[in-house]
Amino acid sequence: MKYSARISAVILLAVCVTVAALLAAVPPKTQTVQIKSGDEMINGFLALPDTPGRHPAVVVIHEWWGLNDWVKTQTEKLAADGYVALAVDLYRGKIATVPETAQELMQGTPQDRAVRDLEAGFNFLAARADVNKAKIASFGWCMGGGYSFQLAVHEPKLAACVVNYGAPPTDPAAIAGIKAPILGNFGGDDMGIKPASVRAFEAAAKGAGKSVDIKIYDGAPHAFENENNKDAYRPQSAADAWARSTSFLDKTLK
Amino acid sequence: MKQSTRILAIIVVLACVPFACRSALRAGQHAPVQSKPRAVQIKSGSETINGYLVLPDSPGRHPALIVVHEWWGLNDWVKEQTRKLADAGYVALAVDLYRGDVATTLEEAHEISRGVPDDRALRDLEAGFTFLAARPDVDKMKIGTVGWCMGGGYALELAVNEPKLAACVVNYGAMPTDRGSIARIHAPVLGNFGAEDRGISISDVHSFATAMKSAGKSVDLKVYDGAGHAFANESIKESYRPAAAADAWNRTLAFLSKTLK
Repeated sequence: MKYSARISAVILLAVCVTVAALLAAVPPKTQTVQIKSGDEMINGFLALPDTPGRHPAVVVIHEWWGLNDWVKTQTEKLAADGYVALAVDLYRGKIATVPETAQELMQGTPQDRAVRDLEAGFNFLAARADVNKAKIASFGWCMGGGYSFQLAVHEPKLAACVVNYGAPPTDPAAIAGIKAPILGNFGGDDMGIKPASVRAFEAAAKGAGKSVDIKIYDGAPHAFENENNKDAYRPQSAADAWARSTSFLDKTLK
Repeated sequence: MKQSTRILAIIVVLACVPFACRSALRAGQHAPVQSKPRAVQIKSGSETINGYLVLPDSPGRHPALIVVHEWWGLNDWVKEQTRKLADAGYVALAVDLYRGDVATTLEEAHEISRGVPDDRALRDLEAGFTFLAARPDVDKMKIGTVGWCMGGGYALELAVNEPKLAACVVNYGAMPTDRGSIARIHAPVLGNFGAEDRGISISDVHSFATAMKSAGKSVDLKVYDGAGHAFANESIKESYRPAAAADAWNRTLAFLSKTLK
C-alpha cells in the first residue's frame, strides 16, 4: 500500500473506533418501551439520567392531550435531574391537538384501565436494575394530576406524589390509604378544582396524619404550568411550581 | 238553500272558529299535566347536593331512574331527557354532580369536569339511589340509571358499586375493564355507542360485551355506523344523528320497560 493510503486507512480506523467507543459509553437518553398492563402491551416513554447506578424514579402522567411533546420534555427534565422517568401512555398512541378530540379521548378512558396502566408503569420501574424501587414517585398535570392522586391511593409503595391541578379524593377511606407524601400545585382561578375543595382535602389529609404540602397560586387558572396554553400560562407560577416539585422529590426520594 | 242563507251560515261558522280555538286551548291547559319538575336537596356524605326530580302523572309506586348528565352539567337538555323519562312512567331524578355549575363552552366543561373527583361523583349517585329508594312512590327494587358521555361512564360505575341497581343504560361512556369490577355488576346493561367515537373504539365495546358475557352478565350493546360521540344530543349540531338517536332512545325505553316494569 502506498504511504498516503496507509495513513488514510489508519485515520479512518481511528475515527471509527472513537465513534464506536463514544456510542457505547453514552446510554440512550430516551426510548419508547412496551409495558404489560393486564392483557395489553402499552407504550411508555422512558428517559434515563446520564449517570450509572441505581436511581429514584418517576411515573409521569400526561394531561388530557395525551403523551405529547410537552410531556416528553417534562419527562426528559426529570431525567436530567437524576430520575429514571417513565411517561405512561394512557391513550394507546393517540394524541389530541384540539379540545374536542381531547374530550373524546379522555372520556373514552376507563378509570380502572388508567389506574391499571399506571400500576404497570410503577412495576416496570420497580423491576429495573437502575431503579431504587423504594423511591418511585408519581407526577401528573390536569387529568394526570387526578391520576397521580389515584396512584397514591392504590399503591402503598409509592414514595412521593406530585399533583398539578388534579382533583383530590374526597372519600376518607381513600385518603386514609395514602402512604406517599403529597405535594400539590393548584390555580386559585381554577373553575373546576376550587380552592375550597383543595383546602378541604388538605385538612382531611392532615387530619388523617398524612404529609401534604399544598400551594394555591393567586391569579392562576387551570393548566397554568403549560406554556402551550397561551391563555392559561403563568410563567412565574409555573417556574415556582416546578421548583417546589423538584425540591420535594429531592427531599423525599434522594 | 238560498244563496244569502248559505253565506250567512258560512259567516256564522267562521265566527265560531276563534271561540272554538280558545276553548280547545283552555281545555289543553286544563288537561292533566305531569307533576311539575322540582328541585330537590339530597344528602351526599357531609354535603347537600341538588337534584332535578320529575314524577309520572299517575299515582302509586313506580320504577325510578337516576339520570346522569354529560360533562356540560345538569343543563336544559338533561332536564328534558328527565321529563321524557317521567312521561314514560318513571320517577326520574337527575343528580347534579357539578354543584350548580353548568358549562357552555368546551373549556368550561373541561375545567369543571376536571374538578369532580370520581369518588365524590359515585357518592352523589349512591345518594340519589338512596333518595329514590326511600320514596313511597318508588319501587326500590326497580331503580335503574341512564347516563350519557361522562354520565354514561358514571352510570356504569354505579352499576359496579350498587348491587341493588336494577338496570343500567350507558350512552357513549367508558366501560370498566377490570374483571373484578365487571363481576360485581348485577344490573342488566344496555349500551349505545357511535362507531366513529374517537375515544371509545368498536373493539373497546366488543371487549366489554365479551367480558360481561363470560361473567354471566346481561348485556346488549349497539354500535351505530356513521355516528360519533354525543350522537344522541340534538343540541350538539355537529354530533347529532337523528336516526341513530331515535333508535337509541327506543332501545332505551324498551329495555327499561322490560327490566323495570
